[in-house]
Amino acid sequence: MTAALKSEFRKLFSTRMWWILMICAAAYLAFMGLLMAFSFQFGTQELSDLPPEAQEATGLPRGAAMARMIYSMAGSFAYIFPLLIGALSITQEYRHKTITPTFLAEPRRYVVLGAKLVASLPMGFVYGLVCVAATALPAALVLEIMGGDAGLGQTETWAFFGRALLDFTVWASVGVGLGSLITNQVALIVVVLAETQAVEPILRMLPPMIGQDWTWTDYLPGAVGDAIQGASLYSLMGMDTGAMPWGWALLILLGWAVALAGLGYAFQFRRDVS
Amino acid sequence: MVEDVIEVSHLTKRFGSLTAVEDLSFQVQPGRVTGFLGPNGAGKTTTLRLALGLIRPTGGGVTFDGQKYAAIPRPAHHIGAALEAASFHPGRTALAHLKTLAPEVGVSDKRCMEILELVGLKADAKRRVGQFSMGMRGRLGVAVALLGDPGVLLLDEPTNGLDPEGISWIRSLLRAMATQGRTILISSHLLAEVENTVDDVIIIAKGRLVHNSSLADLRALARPQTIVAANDPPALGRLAAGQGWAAQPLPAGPGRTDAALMVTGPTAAEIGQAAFASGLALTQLASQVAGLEQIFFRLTEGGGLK
Ligand SMILES: Nc1ncnc2c1ncn2[C@@H]1O[C@H](COP(=O)(O)OP(=O)(O)O)[C@@H](O)[C@H]1O
Ligand SMILES: [Mg+2]
Repeated sequence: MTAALKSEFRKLFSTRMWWILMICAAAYLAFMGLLMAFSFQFGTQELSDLPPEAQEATGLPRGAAMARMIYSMAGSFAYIFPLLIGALSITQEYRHKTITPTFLAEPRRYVVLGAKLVASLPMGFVYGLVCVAATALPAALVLEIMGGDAGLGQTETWAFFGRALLDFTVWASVGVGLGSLITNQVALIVVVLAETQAVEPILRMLPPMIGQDWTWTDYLPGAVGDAIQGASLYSLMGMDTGAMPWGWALLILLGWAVALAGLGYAFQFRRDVS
Repeated sequence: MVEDVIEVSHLTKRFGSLTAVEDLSFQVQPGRVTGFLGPNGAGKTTTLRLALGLIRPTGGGVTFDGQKYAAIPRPAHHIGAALEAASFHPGRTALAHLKTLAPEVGVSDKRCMEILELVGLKADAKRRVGQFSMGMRGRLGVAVALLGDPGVLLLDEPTNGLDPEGISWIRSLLRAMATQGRTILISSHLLAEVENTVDDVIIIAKGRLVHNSSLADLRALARPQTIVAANDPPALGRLAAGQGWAAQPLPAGPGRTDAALMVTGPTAAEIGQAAFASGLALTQLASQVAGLEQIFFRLTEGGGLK
């Protein structure tokens, strides 16, 4: 297993993809962080002329809570990046047929899959560090400059950062699980985009619309991911994710990774390679 | 070095309704270079992929020294393979490609550089494989196969894309490895490409075994062919029919004004004797060298010797 792990690390870091994807994620998040920090801080200042009851009624978080909500964009918007890097660690091997030498060097395919799952965790963690920093640094700077509260003095904020890192870490392994099930790269990208950008957001909007407050949609991977962070822009839209304790959410997301990998191993990963 | 015999027994693989390999059995001996031959689509690559556990047989199996590939611990250390489809990530360097495999193969990083030197890619070690020519990819594929210093080597169409220098390089490499007692199987769809390399030949067509012998025994299968012409062509025709020779008319061509026959079977001397005995004057009697390629073609065309 150590040998397989070493091989998988080398595969991850010996092509340019990991840092290209990472730069894309960081640039996108830095821009969104700046934009959101500015708009929210500006909006709060406008509202500060209103009487306190009216401010309450807007339902907008204030101060450090607002800062954390802005930082949570990293996890809410960019989890697709560790998801992709994990999934591509498999689809790239099928696409470029390196899966042949991989399986020749290690014919026990469950070892290969296991090594990919484990190797994806540190990769996801590094993505988390970069993505959270890329969101929080510019946003905190803007908040401080505009006289708001960046919340960096609160342990609650740092606990949030820690949970966001865990979120990214596990998302990479969810990607590996998905990749083992959908080994075709084009199909995989279509599925990832459709699920994260359309299917899940729509499903998650349904319960509040029909007046339910607890449904199975809380267990969808994106919802679980938000619950790990415990703060999310989605909660602004009435999709409250505060209900599930973050520890449970973390386990459930890990469960998604394991379940997808199990399905992938059973139905796809053991197939003929030709 | 372990003396590894490759044993293919009753191997069958069906892809849906298509039978790619059917009840194939043969052995590959150590210390010799064995050519695994057959036209395109004969089932060579499929057989090798079955042997390496990449695809699952419908029936039968392949063992190396009695063990299935997947059951051998660190198999790439004992069995090196380069399959037809060069499989590299274009964005990875040659050295990085080997290094991704080294831990599982069970060799050091130093070995990766050594093997690149051996296959003549030392100067290109840090170049991305996407920039490599066909021949360079072929060499890198061989490097992957040799990485674990294996006792068994399986190469699928190793001469494809290689320049003449590369072909002669691979020839001497395989010869040297066979001399060390290793078991070497190389596939090709052209007998001519490997006839100077191999000791034994295994020929398949349409997924079935059609021939399995030493190269020398294959050569012995060549039947003599002779061009015969006479000033009395009808008499020559009667003679051929009377003797029961397999004869085909040849049109008049350069250096031959009379219609001639291509006679397969008897030697030139036997034909000359028979003509003399029947009082026929021959104007041409020329033996043709039956090439291996012609035998190969005959074997694979009809799915067996005619
Ligand atoms: N994965 C596959 N699915 C369906 N048919 C296949 C597959 N792989 C090979 N074949 C078919 O099996 C036959 C043998 O192919 P192959 O082993 O590649 O031949 P060779 O290597 O001798 O040229 C061909 O008819 C080929 O089309
Ligand atoms: Mg082939």
